[in-house]
Amino acid sequence: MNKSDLSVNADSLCVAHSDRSEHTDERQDDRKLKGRIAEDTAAYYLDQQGYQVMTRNWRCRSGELDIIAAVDGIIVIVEVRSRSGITHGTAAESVDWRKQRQIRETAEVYAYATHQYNQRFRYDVITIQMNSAYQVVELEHIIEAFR
Amino acid sequence: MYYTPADWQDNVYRRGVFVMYGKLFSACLQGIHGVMVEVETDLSNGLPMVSIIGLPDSAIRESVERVRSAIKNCGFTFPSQRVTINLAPADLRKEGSAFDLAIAMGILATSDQIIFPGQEKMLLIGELALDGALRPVPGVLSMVDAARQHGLTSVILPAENAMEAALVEGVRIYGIKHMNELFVELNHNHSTPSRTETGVEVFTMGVPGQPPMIVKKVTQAASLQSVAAAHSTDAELSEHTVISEDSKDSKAAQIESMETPEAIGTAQNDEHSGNMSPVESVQAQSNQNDSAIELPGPLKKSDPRKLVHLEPLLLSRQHIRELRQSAPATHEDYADVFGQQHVKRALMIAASGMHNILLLGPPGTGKTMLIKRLPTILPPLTEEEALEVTKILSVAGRFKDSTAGLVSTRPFRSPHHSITVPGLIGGSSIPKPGEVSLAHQGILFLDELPEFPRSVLEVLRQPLEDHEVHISRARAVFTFPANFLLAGSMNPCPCGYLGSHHPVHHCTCSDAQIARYRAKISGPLLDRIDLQIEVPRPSERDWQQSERFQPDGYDSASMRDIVHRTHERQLKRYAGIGIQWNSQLSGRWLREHTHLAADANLLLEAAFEQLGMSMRARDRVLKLARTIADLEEKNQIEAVHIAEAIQYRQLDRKKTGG
Repeated sequence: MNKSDLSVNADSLCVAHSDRSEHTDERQDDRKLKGRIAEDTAAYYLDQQGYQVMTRNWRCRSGELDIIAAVDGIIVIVEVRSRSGITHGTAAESVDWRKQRQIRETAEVYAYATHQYNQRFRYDVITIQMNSAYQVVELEHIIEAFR
Repeated sequence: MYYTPADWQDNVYRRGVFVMYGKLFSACLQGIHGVMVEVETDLSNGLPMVSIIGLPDSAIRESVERVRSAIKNCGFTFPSQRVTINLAPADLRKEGSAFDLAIAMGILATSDQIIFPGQEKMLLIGELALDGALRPVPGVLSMVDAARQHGLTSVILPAENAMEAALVEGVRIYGIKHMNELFVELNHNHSTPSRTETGVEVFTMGVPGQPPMIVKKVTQAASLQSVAAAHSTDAELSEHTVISEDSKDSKAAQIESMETPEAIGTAQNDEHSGNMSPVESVQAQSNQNDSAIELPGPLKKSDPRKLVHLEPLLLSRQHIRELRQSAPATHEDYADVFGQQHVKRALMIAASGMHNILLLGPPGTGKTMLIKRLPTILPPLTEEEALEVTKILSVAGRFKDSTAGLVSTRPFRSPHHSITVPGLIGGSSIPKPGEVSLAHQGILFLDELPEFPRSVLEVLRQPLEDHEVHISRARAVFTFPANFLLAGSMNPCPCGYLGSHHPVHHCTCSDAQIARYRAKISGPLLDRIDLQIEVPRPSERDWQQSERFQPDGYDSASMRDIVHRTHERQLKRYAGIGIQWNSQLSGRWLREHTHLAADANLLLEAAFEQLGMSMRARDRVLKLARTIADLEEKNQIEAVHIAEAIQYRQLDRKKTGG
């Protein structure tokens, strides 16, 4: 892996969403905000851990990859999940078989689109536990959560 | 092209791409025969996935999950790469769980986590448990035999199957209970980094604009990153190359000291030892003497691989002999059955020439008892037959007690009359041998013959003639041997007392009932039964004799002597033409070996005309007469022999007589 390929978007590492904005569809907006905070925190964490965050929210028709990072020559596809309560099961549980398949398919498209055919890939899951004030309480990084 | 441990570095980096390929041998079953299967493993970069190709069934597809867990629980890493496993020959459908071990070892060797000397002469079979323990698989005997014919010298397999595999001579057997038993550390002072660390790392981390958060880092696969790093960048790779360059010769020498020369004496190793410096030769020499597993030089510091070290696991012939037990002797004897001398003689004839026999009589006269003692007078299995019979049992998963060696007694099968057609001749979508094949070279006893469904009895006709069963499926045609002696018993009528002169019970059946009962056994089937014997109620005289325990010369030991003698006469006569029993004679051999005396010929022709015998019945009478003559130790068949043979076809006569 060539180092120059890896560019970190510094802006994306700043967690600047601490105020709640008023909006007509408040629930929808809350969800987006929560997801954004979770992904920002995850990206910051990965950067601190020596990962090089290459791309955020890479989209294509088959789905979206939250974070694509690189470490030790391995491309790491990271799925970020967040939760604020414990009523709906754990966040890691929500990455079920169907979601895994979707991520795999999207990763395949990504590898093809970016011409990275001969790279090693790894799928990680980062789950983030927030409190009611949208502050991150806990982050769990599952290395190679699935294959 | 695959790499052996000695020259892996030459192949591993070519045209800027890793060549990660390994090949091991395993085997699967096709009917009762083992077929060698090459398990090829290829690792390539790309999205992590595992694909198994080569027409595997679902048990083999699931094998990946067992292998994944077993590899992890043995302290290795399942490669997070694109794994392709090919089972060659690709056009053969494979089934069963016996490939697990070969797949696991192939992945470990190809991902360079282990050094596996002698892998090209090694057969690997066994099913893996999730913790890496090995579970026994059926059909090991056939697979190991196939491996020997294929030129392989060693077999690694589950310990439970080791004794069975040891029945094949000339192959070194390594029985293991757990996959971990195969490996030794390349060096003992090597600190294994994060090898056991599959846990959770917890720490706190500050986030800008937020209170510090708790971080839990869950590592699933141990030492994943270190393995990845070793294979990734150019700088690291070249470093790796240097290390291996230094240690290559010593490694080659090391391997030579591990294995006996004929197992590993390949040209490559000779080449390497030719290049050795004097110092290294001395080192290698000392290694050979110590048979130590420590490697000298730079390998010590850096090599996290493990070595497959087999010698301590070898099942020695000495040990096999100690484990062997003699089969328990049966306590049944023909001396237990009083009277019925004519039936005992008929049974003796049946056993001598493997002629089919049917006993007919009222309830409680000892029909079942008489036939159950038939195995006690049969000649022992020859070595070749024993191997064949044991293979069938092994394939059917019924060969449990392998400590006693090959099956030495002829099989005796008595299926219940509720048996189905597939149960009798073999079946299911991947055919397993049925009762007729399990009775191969032995006795198939059908008690209460008319109680069997007619459709089931009729399928016996073909194996009774051909001595084998062909089962056709969409995928393949399977052939199972089925050379058995059919022994049956039945009552003369539904109530059982027809013509028994019983003081109390009299037959109450109508003629129609009797006809219906008899009709359950078809003419063609009856035609194939040479000896149809009535077993009457023992008379008062028999009973008195039995109370005084007067020997009548019909005890198992003396009957067995006669049978053995008669069988040996046949073996001598048929040496070189591939048959063993008079009942197997046909066509040219039949004409050649049945010399009839003039009066015997006349008698046979008269019987053929008057009794309306079929051509097959005539041939069968001839064969039976041949056995009777052999019993009397006569080379020529005389009129008395023909007469006796004809009178054994009682039901035939009754039918023709109306």
